[in-house]
Amino acid sequence: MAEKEKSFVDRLWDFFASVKLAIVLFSLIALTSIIGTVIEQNASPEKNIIVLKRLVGENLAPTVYRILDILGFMDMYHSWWFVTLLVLFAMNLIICSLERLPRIWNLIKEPVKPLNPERIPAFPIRKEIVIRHSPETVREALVQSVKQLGFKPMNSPLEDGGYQLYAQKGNWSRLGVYITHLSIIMIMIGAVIGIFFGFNGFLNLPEGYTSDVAYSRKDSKPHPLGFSIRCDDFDVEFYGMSDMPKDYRSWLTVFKDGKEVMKKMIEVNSPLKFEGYTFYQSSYGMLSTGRGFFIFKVKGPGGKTETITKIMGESFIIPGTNIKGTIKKFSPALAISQDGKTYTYAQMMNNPAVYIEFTENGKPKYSGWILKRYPQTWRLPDGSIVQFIDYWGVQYTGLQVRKDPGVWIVYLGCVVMAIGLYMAFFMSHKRIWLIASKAKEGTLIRILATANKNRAGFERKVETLVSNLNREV
Amino acid sequence: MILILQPLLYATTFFWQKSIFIAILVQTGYMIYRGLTLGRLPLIGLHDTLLFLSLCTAVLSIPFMGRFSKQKGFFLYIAFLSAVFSSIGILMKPSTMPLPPVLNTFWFEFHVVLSFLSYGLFGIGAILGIIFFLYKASSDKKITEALQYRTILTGYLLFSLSMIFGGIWAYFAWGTYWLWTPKELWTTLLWLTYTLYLHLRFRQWWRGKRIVLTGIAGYVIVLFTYLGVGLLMKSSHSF
Repeated sequence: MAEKEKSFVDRLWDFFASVKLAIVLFSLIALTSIIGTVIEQNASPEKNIIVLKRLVGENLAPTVYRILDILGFMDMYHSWWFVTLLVLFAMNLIICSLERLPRIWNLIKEPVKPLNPERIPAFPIRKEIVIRHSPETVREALVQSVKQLGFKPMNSPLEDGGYQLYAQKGNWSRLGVYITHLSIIMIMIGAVIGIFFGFNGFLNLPEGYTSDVAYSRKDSKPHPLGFSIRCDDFDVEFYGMSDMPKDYRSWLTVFKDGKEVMKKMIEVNSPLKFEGYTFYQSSYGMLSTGRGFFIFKVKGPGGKTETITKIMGESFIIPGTNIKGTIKKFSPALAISQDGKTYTYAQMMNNPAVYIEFTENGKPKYSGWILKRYPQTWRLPDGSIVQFIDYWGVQYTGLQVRKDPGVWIVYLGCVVMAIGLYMAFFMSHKRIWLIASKAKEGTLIRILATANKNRAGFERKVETLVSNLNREV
Repeated sequence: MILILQPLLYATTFFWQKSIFIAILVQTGYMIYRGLTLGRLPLIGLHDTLLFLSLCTAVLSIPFMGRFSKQKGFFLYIAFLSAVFSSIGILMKPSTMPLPPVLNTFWFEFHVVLSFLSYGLFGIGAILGIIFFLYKASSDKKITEALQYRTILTGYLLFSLSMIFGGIWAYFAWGTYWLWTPKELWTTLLWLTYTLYLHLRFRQWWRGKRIVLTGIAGYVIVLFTYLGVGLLMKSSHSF
């Protein structure tokens, strides 16, 4: 009989169902990924040419670069061929699983049946004991011992007056492999949803400003959010007196249809979430055209305290006195050199300081720098305290704005994977038969068992069962 | 002083097996002391992580000691690994910087601790692979191979968890669970390698010598992912 000509669909199916394809795809994805880690992705050509010069030599480097560039290696994880490899891998995984699923499904659904005691097939685990009691007397002990292993035994009588106990458990664990494979597909689907329906952008929001758009990372185009967000304040917290940042914090307010709906302080690792968008603290900076407000908490010698907001050049009166302070200079990061001169050592607000001149009835009294981070500079000679709270309105908070509707599918996939791996590797499908038949001196008990995984472990348990039976009965 | 003591004590294990326990105690003490003075988990920078890896390898080998009481090779290799890691570790400058904001989350702690526990298990898996070749009797070989499989399997599960936690952390910190940096790619390659190992073991042809060698090769990728990528490539893991 001539073999039937396979249809194209059949052959395609066979192609995707092969384990060989899986190994080839596995290796290709791995090898190309390695190239992608050597060549810096989305970097300037010069950078990678330097890398290539080290690898292939001065002369070949530009040519190799051009070839790799045409092949898409400079942004390879988004190149058509890498995406194709991933799609093929997904199809391979799905079809490999589907191909084997019906057989496994039958094994799961198949109820355990009593054996024919005359023709017992070869089982990997086989034990025999003889007990000096009739089969009926030991029945309860046998049932108990099987139950102790976690089985619910069924009973079938034998012709000679004996009986057979048989049970299975863990048959569902055979699905573990498929659950694990499913989880990988779920993670991939989640990732694809993120790529197509997600948004990856940024928003640099100065203190006091409101925006109803964010800007795409790809082309910097504005992307309407459907609500607006305001930065109320931004602040860097430092470790002690060092310039080592401890935390970056932004105070944000969300408005929807003109109404305030949410207020939250965000920091690194603790973003704000609203209507599917997440705002992450990612950077900060100073506005070059900044014209901000100096905020002071001023306590006069009489103990009266006032909060004062002024701009550069303006003056204020210390409560309960005639002393007038005028804001003359500002430095975002004040330092003192060895010869006692002050200078600004950074353009960020690392050590904000304000220079104030105090006069009483028009006559100069004292003047000096007041530093936000140094309380000892707040105290004036007459005992009043000018606390420098903030120079507000000159910093912006750099927010990372993302929307990823697929992330929950990815996480669900991770959970499913953990369950699947546990089922696949730590649970096994176990079957056991105890055949108790009448023998000359009592009862012959034959124990037969199989496990699809960790057979040695199951065998040890069966051995314990046997030794317990020997001892107790 | 306590620094030099660590590799020395591991090296002493070559002559006197029990000194591995003293080494473990000294090292644990040192790490606790460092953690207390810094006020955080001492797991930033090569100094800390190498010492922690050395400790993980040694501690996780304890459950195997009974079985290999007659096969001294096992301890020698464990002690050798721990001695090498801790010697390089003490040469590295300890990082005394306070915690950068991005690391200030318990996801980071889970992620790092789980990774190094799994690296430790993968190391023991590789050593079991070497022991496999030292044994002559096929029954011994069979047991060692099965042991390597179970060690690597446990490591694989911890490693998978560590990757999941890393993804969650990255999502909180950078807004995405995946950044396409070399470190992540190599981590995934490592995961794929051990996935391959677990699949290959289902094939009869691979059982024994071949699978054991795959287990050893996996550890080479572990070392590259941990040390090579950090030193040679750009990464989301340099803080």
